[in-house]
Amino acid sequence: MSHEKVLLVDDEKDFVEVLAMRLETREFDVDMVLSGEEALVKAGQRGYDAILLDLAMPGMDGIETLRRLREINPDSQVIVLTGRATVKQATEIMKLGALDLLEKPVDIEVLVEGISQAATNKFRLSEQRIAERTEEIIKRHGW
Amino acid sequence: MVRSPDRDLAARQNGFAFFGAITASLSHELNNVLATIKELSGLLEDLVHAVKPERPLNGERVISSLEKMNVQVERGRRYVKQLNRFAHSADEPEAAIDLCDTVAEIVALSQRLAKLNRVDLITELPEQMVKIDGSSFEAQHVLYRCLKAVMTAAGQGEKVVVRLSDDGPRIVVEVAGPDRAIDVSPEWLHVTERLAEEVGAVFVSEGGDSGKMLLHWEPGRAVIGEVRL
Repeated sequence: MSHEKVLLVDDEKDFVEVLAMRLETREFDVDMVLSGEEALVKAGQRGYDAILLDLAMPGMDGIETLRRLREINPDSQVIVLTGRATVKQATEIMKLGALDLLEKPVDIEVLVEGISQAATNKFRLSEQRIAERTEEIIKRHGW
Repeated sequence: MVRSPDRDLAARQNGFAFFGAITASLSHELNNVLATIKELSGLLEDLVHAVKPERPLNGERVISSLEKMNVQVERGRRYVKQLNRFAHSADEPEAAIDLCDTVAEIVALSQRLAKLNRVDLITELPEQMVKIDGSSFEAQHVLYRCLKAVMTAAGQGEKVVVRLSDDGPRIVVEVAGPDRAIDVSPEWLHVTERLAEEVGAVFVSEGGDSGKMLLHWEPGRAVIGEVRL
């Protein structure tokens, strides 16, 4: 049983609601929001294993949302979902540290695999941070 | 009118850019429709796979999913119809067109842009037809430039009204946003002026911060465009 925490960010209400239902039946713990601004609030309140982010949204677009999510938490694992992305956008998305860029409509199993990868990455990064902090404490105290 | 190759090229490029902007917007919406239908059909599949002797098919969820699918199909049909009408608007460079239809169509085509700008885009149209002679495509192009400029200047949650009035000899299309300066570049003005010329229009810009753009037509005569900035 997985229970990875997933945040869905997309202004297409029907799409995001149905995708949330499908992920919930696969034992994911899903929150959903309809804008980039709401995503930043949610991400500040709760740590997510994976964030699925739409690119073209009213107000704050996906690229700006991605940039700010990574500022809030550099370990955020973001998968960008889009109908289309230019080469320039795709390059910027990957430079900003997105885990993947998937084209809509996307196969649910591909998405599930991406979320699992995101959760694994997040776990590894978290372990790495703990190891770094432990080493720092040991050095500081000369143990 | 004798035109230079540079001028023809610039006009073509602007036309292609407008055509590209509209088709990109509609194809994006159509993709959203398809993505939602795919998830709904996937949900139906999930529901069927979840059936067990002790857990029968959830009929309510099936019906709700099918209803949502129908809504998406209707939405998709609307976009295809808009796309088709828009594609055919370039068929006739000179024809009798109903300006009510032209305004309604470009406003419908601009709704995604309005949504991205979080602007409420509405029309006020007369009940009777408003006929002019001209190119539907070019008229939509000029209107789109005005709409885009006014919507970009408008703030989140504000209203942009496209008002068509026919008070005898003069027909006016007013694109009105909040009373605020519309920030357009000299390049924008130059290109719009050139485009207006392409449809036989005179383009006038004025200083100020009325937040309005106006286009005037006089039936049976060349199109006269006036933009107040």
